[in-house]
Amino acid sequence: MATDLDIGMNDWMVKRLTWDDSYRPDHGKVLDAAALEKLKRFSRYHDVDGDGIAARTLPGVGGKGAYFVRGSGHDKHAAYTEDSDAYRELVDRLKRKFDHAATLVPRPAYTRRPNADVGLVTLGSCDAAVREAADRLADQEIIVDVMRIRSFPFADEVREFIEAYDSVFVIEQNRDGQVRTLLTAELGIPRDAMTPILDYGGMPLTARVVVEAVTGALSEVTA
Amino acid sequence: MTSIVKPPVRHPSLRTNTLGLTLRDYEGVMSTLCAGCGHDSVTAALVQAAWELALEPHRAAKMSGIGCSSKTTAYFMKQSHGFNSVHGRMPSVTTGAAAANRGLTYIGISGDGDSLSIGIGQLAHAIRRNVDMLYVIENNGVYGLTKGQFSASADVGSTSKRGEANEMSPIDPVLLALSIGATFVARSFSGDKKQLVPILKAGIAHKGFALVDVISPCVTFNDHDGSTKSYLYTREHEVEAVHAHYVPVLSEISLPDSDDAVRVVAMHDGSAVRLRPTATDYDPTDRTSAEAHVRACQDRGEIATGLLFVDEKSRDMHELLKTPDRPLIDIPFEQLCPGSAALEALMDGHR
Repeated sequence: MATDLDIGMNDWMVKRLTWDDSYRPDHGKVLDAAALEKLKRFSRYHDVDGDGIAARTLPGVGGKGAYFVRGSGHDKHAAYTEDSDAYRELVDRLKRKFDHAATLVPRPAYTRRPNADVGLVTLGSCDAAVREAADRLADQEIIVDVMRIRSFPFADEVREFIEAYDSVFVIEQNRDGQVRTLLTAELGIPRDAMTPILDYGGMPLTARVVVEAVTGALSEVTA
Repeated sequence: MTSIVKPPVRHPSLRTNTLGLTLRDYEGVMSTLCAGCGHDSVTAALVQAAWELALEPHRAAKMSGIGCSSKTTAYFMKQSHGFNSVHGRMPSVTTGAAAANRGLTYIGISGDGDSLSIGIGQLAHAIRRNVDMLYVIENNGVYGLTKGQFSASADVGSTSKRGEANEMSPIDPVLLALSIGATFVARSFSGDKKQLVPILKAGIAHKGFALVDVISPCVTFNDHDGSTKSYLYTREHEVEAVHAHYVPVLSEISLPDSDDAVRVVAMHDGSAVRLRPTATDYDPTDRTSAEAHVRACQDRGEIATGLLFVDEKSRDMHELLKTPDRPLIDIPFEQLCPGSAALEALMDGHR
């Protein structure tokens, strides 16, 4: 989850909240006493189906389901180990789990226009200002699409969006372009293929900052 | 680790508790602490206490943070769930676990680094909330895992292994706990199992937060002449203020006690603790005098031990929060979730 002071401390208008009474939480792979009984041995970190997610138990379910959560080196049975292969096996499982998570986390949100040739990538509280900027740019006949990233690890759609435009801007509120760095590190997209728009004066982002940065950068290219 | 895992051996003459379990059933995996570490004696006392109380192993949760002390949770009750939290964050993790499932017995093991430096805020608030748990601090005055720097509990004037003296004033977990309203406060010594086991049992039986500070010498970095947390210093300066005797069922002590000085404190679960102060004017149910006694001992260079203070009438976290008796984890989702009607009403209330 990405949040910032503007979201966290200021009042925001939201649509009336709704609740789906048919919703039931999905606790995932949780073994109960009956399921444990069928196992010869419960192995907390053993990935049996390749998605990187190992079944867990809840405390109190029975002696067979007990395990010790520890930070030090452990094997797939959650037992202490200093064996390199056993440790590598677990670290590789976490990589599979992380990659798998990218297919399950919330998809990006888009604001699209026909025939756009510029992509704006943003996140969090920048959203309203960036969408307003898209409207103003359209008035100047600069047609842009907007993608608001909503999760990490990045879904495949994030890469597809960035690769679809000749010009891509990444708009974020920090000095160093941290999201752009993540996009490069995680997706292998060249840094120079994304132009940073950085606003870090301490006030919420405004549409004007985005419009000026985009028109400025585009006129430099055409000049 | 290259040691060979040996098959468990059970001598047929091993005694069993009311669950039919032997002492060995309450053991954990082999300790990787230094030979002679006080913490391993605390482990032995925990095994003894849990066996004598006949705790169902799978209904107990062992909680710890980071440090030599926090490895202890792996060395007892291997059939219990265990959790090594982030450094100093064990109190919060336990608070959350206890909120979700009040049906388990929570045993927290921490150290002077984990509890008095990085986790002191966490410890203080778990005390304030009166989370129903046993909280053991294995206190050795040094950071053993990082080669023996002074911890926050090191006494003024005590020296490091290389002779450098500590000049900063110590944080005494017992005084801290007493001053912020802890409802069960004890101190013991890893080398005094006879004193420690009944305290641990009473702490588990106590409904609320039970702090047990155990002086547990570090043989590698803090067991030398300049240390005030060495085996020798603790043995010579330990002054037991109150001797505790745990009585499993209250009815067993219904007979009048011949010893006038003995106070019987009824525990929430029907058991009781007989407290015998070693000085006639000591009242283990009076917070002010307990605090004064501990401070006076400290001024004399003595270590006040025993079950120093207990308030069994206190309200624990669940009582304070008015949560149902049934553990939240056992309540069906349909009952736990107030649903769309409640959300509508809430939003209308903000109009």
